[in-house]
Amino acid sequence: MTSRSEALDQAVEAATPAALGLALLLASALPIHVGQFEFFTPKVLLVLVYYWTIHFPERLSLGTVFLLGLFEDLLLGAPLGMNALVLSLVYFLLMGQLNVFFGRPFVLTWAGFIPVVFSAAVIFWLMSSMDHGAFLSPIQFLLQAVVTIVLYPLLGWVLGRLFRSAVR
Amino acid sequence: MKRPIATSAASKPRGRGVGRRWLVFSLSLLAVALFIASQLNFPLVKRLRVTIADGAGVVLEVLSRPVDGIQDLYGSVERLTEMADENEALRTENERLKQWQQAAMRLEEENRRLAELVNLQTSRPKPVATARVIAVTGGPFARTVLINAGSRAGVRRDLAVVDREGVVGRVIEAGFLSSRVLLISDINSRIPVRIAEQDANGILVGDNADELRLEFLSRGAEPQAGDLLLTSGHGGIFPPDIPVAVVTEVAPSAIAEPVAGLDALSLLQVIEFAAAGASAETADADPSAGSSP
Repeated sequence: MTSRSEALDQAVEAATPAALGLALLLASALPIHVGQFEFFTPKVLLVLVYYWTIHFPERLSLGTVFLLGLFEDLLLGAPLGMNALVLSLVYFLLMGQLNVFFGRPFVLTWAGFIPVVFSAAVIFWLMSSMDHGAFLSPIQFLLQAVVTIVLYPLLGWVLGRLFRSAVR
Repeated sequence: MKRPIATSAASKPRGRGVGRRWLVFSLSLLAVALFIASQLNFPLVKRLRVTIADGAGVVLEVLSRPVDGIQDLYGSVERLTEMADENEALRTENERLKQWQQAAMRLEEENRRLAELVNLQTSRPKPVATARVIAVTGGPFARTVLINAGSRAGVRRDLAVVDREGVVGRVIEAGFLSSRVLLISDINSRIPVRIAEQDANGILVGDNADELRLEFLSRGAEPQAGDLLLTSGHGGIFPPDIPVAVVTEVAPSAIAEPVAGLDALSLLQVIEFAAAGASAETADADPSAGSSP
């Protein structure tokens, strides 16, 4: 009985990041009518991968990150493999730098997020331009990066709450 | 020794060292291979996109209902505060429109008689489906939305999509329950248009931004700010004479603003460019004939 309950708990814990990632991605795609900003919704999966890799690395696997990215590509009609590649690289690079973030105040992890988002935006811009066959305007990619950085504290707080209540 | 985990000190991250490096290398290669496959338009990739959009569409359909409800409520409250002014404005507009209605009825009758006289065959749009926007997909790389009507409702690739104001875009992927619509503001969008007041054609080009560029104008065309751009009917996707945009700037290049509310899309209609004569029967049918998923 106990082992079955433990197995169930483990299954829930293992599925939590993927389920919350999917839910956040779907929620971010809802038509909320905020003018042109509707097309500059924050990269919620990038926030999720960054936040969870730093705070709960044992709950997230590279395979989950890759599949979430692939789902984002397919749902949003993005160049296939783009988000999967970027999220996997972010996860991999962060896993090697966990000591840097350990025990640091929130402001520093937020500051650490800035180069991650801008580097990701450059890859998104390059791959989207390759997909289009000509250089796209980088301004819109930068704008999306800024929106993502600005909303990081709120999204991070939501993710932390969701995660803790999901694995409680 | 300190563990590099802020909240879960007892556990270890999955996959370590060389193994993880190999895994990330393999997945990166896979991502690049998928990217190349999508560039080569592999049918499997297209099918995968349609399947995912269809599956997610079911969930998005449910999730978008309360969002729509909240927005309707917000709109109602906003309208309540403006009701007195709006009433007065509507009264004035109503008087003006009554005069126009008389003129329009007279002209329509005259038009009908003249068309009969020369045996003119006209092409009119045939409504296929009425659909709701359930997701705003795309991003800086594309301007697309998902609608809750697919092949089950008769929607297929390359059908035109309009709202009550004018052209919104065209269907680029049609699943069974949902479809992806490429908006006219997308960088890949090209719409053949004509300037309503002139006998001049051009192409309206999207730029992943609010405004559209008017290019490839016919010789002698001189667009003016305020000119209405209508679909020309060339290309076979968009039926002629549907409003698309209004010219806002002419120098250094012609810029136009879409008439459709692309930043607040809700109810859309998918229409088919019925060939002249062949579809007279269906084109004359009640526009509400389109299915409503």
